[in-house]
Amino acid sequence: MEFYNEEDVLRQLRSEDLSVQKKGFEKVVAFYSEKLYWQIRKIVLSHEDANDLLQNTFIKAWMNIHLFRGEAKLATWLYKIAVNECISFLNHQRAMSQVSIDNEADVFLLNRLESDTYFDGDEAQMLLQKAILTLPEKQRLVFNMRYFDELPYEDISDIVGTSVGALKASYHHAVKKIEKFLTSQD
Amino acid sequence: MSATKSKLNEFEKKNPFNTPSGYFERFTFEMMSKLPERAEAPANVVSIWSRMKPLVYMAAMFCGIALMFKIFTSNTGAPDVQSGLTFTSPSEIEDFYTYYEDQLAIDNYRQSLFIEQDSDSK
Repeated sequence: MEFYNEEDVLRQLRSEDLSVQKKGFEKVVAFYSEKLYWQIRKIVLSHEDANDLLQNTFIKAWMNIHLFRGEAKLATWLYKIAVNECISFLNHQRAMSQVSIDNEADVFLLNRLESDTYFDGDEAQMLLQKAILTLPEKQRLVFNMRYFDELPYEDISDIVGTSVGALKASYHHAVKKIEKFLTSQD
Repeated sequence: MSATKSKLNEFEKKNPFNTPSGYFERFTFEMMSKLPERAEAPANVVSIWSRMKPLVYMAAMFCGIALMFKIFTSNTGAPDVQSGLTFTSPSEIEDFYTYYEDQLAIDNYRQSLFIEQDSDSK
């Protein structure tokens, strides 16, 4: 991969020349696509949906790149777009299939997970995913970012727009619920 | 919490998901070919009025303050030096009042004459 320097890329993105902007954006896509993909995939679980949402995220970013003022990190801005895309997608899908998040698990996502051909986890990992699906949406987001990606609370706070204190509490509750679910499955 | 951690630690923190082979290698090229055309971002044209607006508002504010200052200071009961009536000594004040008393007496006299004439004519 070509060496990625965010300052140079941002300079290219702010250029008035569209072709220079496009070159800068290509570097952004190359650098962030994998990171964003996994973030999206952990939310929507299926590869097909994750692929569509990743493309939508980059299209939105490209169309609104002039709104990026550099106050936050580019990564945070992109994560924010991706998370919002995922939440809109899930809400839309649930409304379409008239399923809601019940107390047991998110039925829509559970079906997507079980039918996904690009899941190669063992039984234990499937169980953990099912446990994660019992969490409310925001707790699930926080748990995935903290547990799997080990993102600092400050970064998660920038992405989901919640205070660090509230995130810590949210993660604590998420872990407790998952433990309860796993214990009940023993 | 420790029990929770140990329970979670039983699970490998391994990514259970995978992707089609070569997905990320192809993604950038495919994504760039799908990017919609975008018009050049319109240059930020700042009109003269937009540039002048703060200055105009500030000038209007100072005019208002000056006007209010003038109104408040003119009602403080300060001596009116513009009226033209200036007396330099007590005798001049006395002359002024004498003159006015005379004028008043003449006016009253004339008025009484008119009243008498009216009553005579009736």
